[in-house]
Amino acid sequence: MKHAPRLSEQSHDVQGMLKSGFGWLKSSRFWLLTIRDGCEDQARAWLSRLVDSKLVVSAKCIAKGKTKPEASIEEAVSVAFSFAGLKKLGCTEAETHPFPTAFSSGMGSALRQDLLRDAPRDEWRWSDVEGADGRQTVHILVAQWWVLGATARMEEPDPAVFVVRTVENNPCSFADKDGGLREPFGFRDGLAQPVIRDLREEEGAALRQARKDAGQFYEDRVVEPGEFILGYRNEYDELTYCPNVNEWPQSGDRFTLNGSYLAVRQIEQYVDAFRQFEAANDQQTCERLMGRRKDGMPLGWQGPLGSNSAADAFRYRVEDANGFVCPKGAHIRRSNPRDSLGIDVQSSIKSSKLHRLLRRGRPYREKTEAGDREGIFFIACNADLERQFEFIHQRWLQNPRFGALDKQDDPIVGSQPSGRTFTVPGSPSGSEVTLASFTGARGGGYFFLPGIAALKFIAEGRAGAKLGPMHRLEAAAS
Amino acid sequence: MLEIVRQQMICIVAPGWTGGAEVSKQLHDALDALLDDVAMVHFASIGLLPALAGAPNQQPVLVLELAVEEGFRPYDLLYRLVYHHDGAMWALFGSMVAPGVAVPTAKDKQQLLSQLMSWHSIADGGFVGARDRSVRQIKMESDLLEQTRIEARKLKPKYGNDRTAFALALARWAYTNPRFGWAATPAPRSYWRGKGASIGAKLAYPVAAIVLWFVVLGIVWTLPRAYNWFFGEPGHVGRAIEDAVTKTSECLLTISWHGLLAFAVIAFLVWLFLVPLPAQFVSWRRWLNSVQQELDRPTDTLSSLATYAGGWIIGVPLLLAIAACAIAYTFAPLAYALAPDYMHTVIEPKLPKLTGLQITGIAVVAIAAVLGIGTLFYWLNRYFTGLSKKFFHPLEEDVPRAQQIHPSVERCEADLVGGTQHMFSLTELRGPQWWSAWCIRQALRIVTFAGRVFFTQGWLGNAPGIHFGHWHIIDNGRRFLFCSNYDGNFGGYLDDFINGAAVGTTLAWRWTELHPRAPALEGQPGIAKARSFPPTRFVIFRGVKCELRFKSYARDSMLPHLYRFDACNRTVDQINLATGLRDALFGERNEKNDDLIMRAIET
Amino acid sequence: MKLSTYEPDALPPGARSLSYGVFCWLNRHVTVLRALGALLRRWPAIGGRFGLVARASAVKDVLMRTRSFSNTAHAANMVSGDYLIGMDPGPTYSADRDLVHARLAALDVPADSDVEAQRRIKALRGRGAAGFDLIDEYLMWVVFRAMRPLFGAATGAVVAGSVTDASKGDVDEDLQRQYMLEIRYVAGQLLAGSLATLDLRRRAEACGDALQARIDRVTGTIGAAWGVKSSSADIERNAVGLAWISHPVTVQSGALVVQELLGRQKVYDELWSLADKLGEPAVWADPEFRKIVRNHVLELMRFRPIFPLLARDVPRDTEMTTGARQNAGCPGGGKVSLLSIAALFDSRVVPQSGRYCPDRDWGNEDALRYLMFGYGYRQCPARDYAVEILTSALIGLLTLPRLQLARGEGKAIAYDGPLMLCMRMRTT
Repeated sequence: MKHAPRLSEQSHDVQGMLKSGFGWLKSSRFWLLTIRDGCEDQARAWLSRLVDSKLVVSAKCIAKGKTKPEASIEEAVSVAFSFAGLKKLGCTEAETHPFPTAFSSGMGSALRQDLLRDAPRDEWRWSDVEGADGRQTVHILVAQWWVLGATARMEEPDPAVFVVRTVENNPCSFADKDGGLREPFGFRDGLAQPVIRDLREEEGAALRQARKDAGQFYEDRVVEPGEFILGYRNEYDELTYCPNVNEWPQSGDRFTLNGSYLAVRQIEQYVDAFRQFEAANDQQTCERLMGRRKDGMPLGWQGPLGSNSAADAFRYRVEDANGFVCPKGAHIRRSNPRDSLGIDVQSSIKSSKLHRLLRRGRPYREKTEAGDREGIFFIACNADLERQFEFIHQRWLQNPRFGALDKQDDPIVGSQPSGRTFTVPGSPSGSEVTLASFTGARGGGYFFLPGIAALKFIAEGRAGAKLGPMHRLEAAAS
Repeated sequence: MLEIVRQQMICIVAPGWTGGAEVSKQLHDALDALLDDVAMVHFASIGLLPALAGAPNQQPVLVLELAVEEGFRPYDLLYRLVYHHDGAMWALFGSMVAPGVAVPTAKDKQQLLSQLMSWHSIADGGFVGARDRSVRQIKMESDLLEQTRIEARKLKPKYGNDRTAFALALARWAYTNPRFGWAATPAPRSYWRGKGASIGAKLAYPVAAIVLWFVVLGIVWTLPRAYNWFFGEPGHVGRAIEDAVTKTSECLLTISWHGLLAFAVIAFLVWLFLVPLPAQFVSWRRWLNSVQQELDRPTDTLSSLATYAGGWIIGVPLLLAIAACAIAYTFAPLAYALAPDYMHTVIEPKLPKLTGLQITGIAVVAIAAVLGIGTLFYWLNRYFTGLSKKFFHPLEEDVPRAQQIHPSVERCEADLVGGTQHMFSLTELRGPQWWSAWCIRQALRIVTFAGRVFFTQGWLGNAPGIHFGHWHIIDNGRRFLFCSNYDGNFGGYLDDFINGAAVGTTLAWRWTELHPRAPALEGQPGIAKARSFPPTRFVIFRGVKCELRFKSYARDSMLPHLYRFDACNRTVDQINLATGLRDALFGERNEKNDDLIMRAIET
Repeated sequence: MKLSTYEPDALPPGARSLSYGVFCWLNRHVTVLRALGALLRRWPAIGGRFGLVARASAVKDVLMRTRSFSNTAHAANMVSGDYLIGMDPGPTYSADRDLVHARLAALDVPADSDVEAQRRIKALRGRGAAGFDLIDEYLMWVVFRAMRPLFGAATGAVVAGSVTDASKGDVDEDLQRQYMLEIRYVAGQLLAGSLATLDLRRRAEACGDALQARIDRVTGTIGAAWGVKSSSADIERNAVGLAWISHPVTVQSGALVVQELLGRQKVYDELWSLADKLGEPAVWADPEFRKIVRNHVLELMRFRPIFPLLARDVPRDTEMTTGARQNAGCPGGGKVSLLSIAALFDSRVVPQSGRYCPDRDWGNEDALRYLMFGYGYRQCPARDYAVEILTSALIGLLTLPRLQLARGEGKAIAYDGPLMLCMRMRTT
């Protein structure tokens, strides 16, 4: 009777992205790479150089600088692969433990477009599967974070080996005086993140303070690790499913242990349209659309600005059952209904923990001839794409019949073509505002974020961990 | 009482389908027109089942699922469908009854009707979400809701801030609008939702039955006495008869009385351990919760195995002992009647003679001991955290081929994403099949009963959003078909059941398994490797809580549909809201109704 | 057109099937009702307390006071839409009534019914001991053929349910049978009333829907056949009502008449020998014989009426005379029930009421003889036509060799609640 692996012992194998959003590394760049035909070996070589450079930090590295991880890490890189990418690099899924259908069919497929209730994807420039002409099929996603103003050390991918597309940083995203992240519409972002149990074990002063700030609602944010990292206990109290790959040599743990799935979308935000809307309606209505104040506090917050932990510590069912404070269709209420959807508080909190996302995206800015285009490069880490990302997208955000509403999807990211309205409940009866379209997707895909050992395995090709130095030289030379 | 629920959900299982994997557009439209016109059908879908393993005819089996309004006998319903002017049913089934006939004569139709009757099966168990509503009612109430919202937008500037006046204006508008004359009567409710909704009414039936039983026995017992008083003492034969009658009725009376007493004591003990003691003693409550959590644990840990073993070693013998005592106490009078000497000389000396006070004392000590054990475990858990970490850490586990969906099934789900979802699931009964079939039927009767009498507001247990969910045992007790029309998506739907109605779902499915089977036709899902339902502990625990196994099991058993009809396309919440609005607009003017109207028009 | 939205069963489970079972049993065993009626006639005050009247004078009184006792009591059971029988007097009522009278004038009874009866009897004559179904193979067709002129040229369209098929001439017999089956269930709901169990009510509603849809498709043809310029809604209402009220009720009455006759062997023998003596063509042509048979039909209908109980709504507070010393109060919003079968056996009006006497002299109470069709202004306008049709049917049966109920294979009479579905008979 062997025990399953313990997260505390495996933190050296978990990519750092799952532990921290690298908030102190204020510059970011995302590389969307497609491996050209015949260049697989060069691609692998580049990957192994990347791994050797120790830029792909693990969760353990972040924990080393106990009080100040900022001190030790100045640049961090994460690497993820789409299903097409894994196949291209020689990893075929095992028949006994195949990858989930959502991942293997990819976000870019027509079926997923229907299931996610997306608008027509004519404007998509990249996705994770073979799609329409002109759409890049991305194999590798590389996320790079580094200190603002410094030069990045990572070796840039060779355009001869890869088709390269980059998504550049938006320098205004950390322009706040308090150093918080702001997205292009002006709202503080990155506040309501779930806390992974067992991964933030340090009983530091910061954690105690966070607990105190949140009061009795702190436990609402604490989620089992299996919801985001494959191979550990999840909110169902069972181990998350770990698919395997045929070429993986180790007989015990599987290839995907310590990995995660990333649901990635490049969402362009129409800032002009939003400013127009803001001018026509007052700021309070805009805040009601989002569900939070622009400074990040919940809508019912009284008093001075609180910490992030306090900003995430509230519920809806008792104080705000009818949506008078935070409208029922507001963006954050749709993406995290907390305790409002079930039959009572306990079961609602329990079931809402089944649909949490760990967000690691960053705002981006794209320079074109017509001007700057801003948006958010949305990355959500989760262990079960269907239950977490797709569920939230299909049943909550894009559902025109969410709760008791009718023909209204999410005000911010909704994809209904025209004539969008938004209900603001009130006493005696609420009002409706007409909305324009504020966002549009430019690309998206599902990626697999492997553990460090799995990443090394991919980089070294079929040889795997058992190869001697002789073979490795041969592989590098060819 | 269950029949009326079961008759609402019918499946017609017709072997020998030759029509291919798609339903032609013409047939699709014809069926839509037929079902729309008939206006008794809420949902209808058509799927293909692979033929039974040993059957001579290996063509796929067509299954037509109908979820209809309450009260129709299957014959009347099928009659209406077959004899409808359009003849769409012949277009669908005609080739299986009389191939080659394009326009059926009346004899053909009669033959089709009797064939359909032989193929039909009403649900063995089912649950109806938004019940007591006919298709027309749902449509008309949605129309009322829509129109009220439009009218409210017009009236808002005038009445914006005065709730009472606003509601009154809307009510007046609704009353004077000739389109809504039908709404003047309150929305219909069946007995269990209306007068029988209170707990008193629900208890009235068993209590009345018990009282009636005792009264009848009492009357039978007094009959001989009355006869003697009226007519005088009888002769030999008469006296023998009287003796027999008196003895039997006395015996039955005491047995019933003892049984009632034993049941009352056991019910009291169960209530005591599950309600007031947990409320009073925190450690006992925590220990109870932990026992349930351990028995329900999907991934084994040392703790769950230990609890399971403890259950077998301590729990089961204890329960058996209590049951044995209760049975002995209940049937003691019978033993006394049949063999009094044996009872007096052999059994009675063995029984301990205790006064009531002593018995109560022993009981209190026993309860305290049990509480003490619970507290001990809890304390051990708290103080040995290191050991308990290992104790509660999951053991290795492997679920093969999880999270896989056949593309045809996914396609069906994607097509229905904007409306009410649907699923077909086909599994086989575990052997011995007659035993599994019997167990499943009893379990489904219980689920149907609970759904009809207790869960009247559209939630089954804690699981919302079901319109019509029903189970059928088909092919003479060999296979098990589940059809469901629900709001939400598949994963969320099953999650609701796993979290909210685990016991019922486990009971419904635990006697089934999945055998390898070939797909019915090209493009349909087949099953390559066998799967079994996740293991259960003590019949009702665990089971569906093994989410990965259960969902893979369910996903593998799913079949796509070829045709789907949805009469109204409303969620259960919307249906309830529309009915509430109707009652509020046309009911009395009070705060609650006014507020409901305000909430309803907000969107 | 009425939209049937169903009403679920608000009674506790089991209560309705129990009460319905009792109701059907009472309907089949009319003698029990008669006994009850005798009791209530003797002590009318008891009946008055429960809103029941039994004496002939009281029943006539209630039926004559159409403003105080409204026919809208029937409306709840009319699953196929509102019609004359459930309406209060008013312009719609008068217009519909005029239309009915016009349609009835087109009937050619007894000529049509005689012809059809002769045709069917000839077909049945060969059966001998094999037996036949009185309703399905005889009565249904005789009444159908006799009532053809009600829809005139549009009958084929109505029966076929579409305009295109009607142009083919006479419609397939199976289609006719299907049509008659459907309207039978709709009429049955009037009989069973609010006591019917849910599945019977839903079946009637489904057949009512089918009937409405059927008429809806051929409204133009019917309007043309009737030669009226009313709106299509009016035509539909009248067509639907005429369809389901006329035929099934007459057929059921006929079956009840034959059932009663077969229960009275002496009377049957007497009539049969009379018919035998007259011989084939004279049986149909002789007016005296026809009068005798008609009297017998009425007397048989008296002993087994199709509606032994009638109900009326009470729109406002009022009183009614029951025959007791004090009047019985009728609160507004309630109902009263009339035991018409008791009134027909009231010895204060009908001398020697218990005796079977077709030649009875009813004196100035002759209108009471037709109480099974109603009384006064709201009496069934087709009264005489119905009796004539049944007379023809009975004459036809009398020309066959002696008949009896076929008790061989199971029950001879199949019931569906209070309705008779089939009555198997054979020659002795």
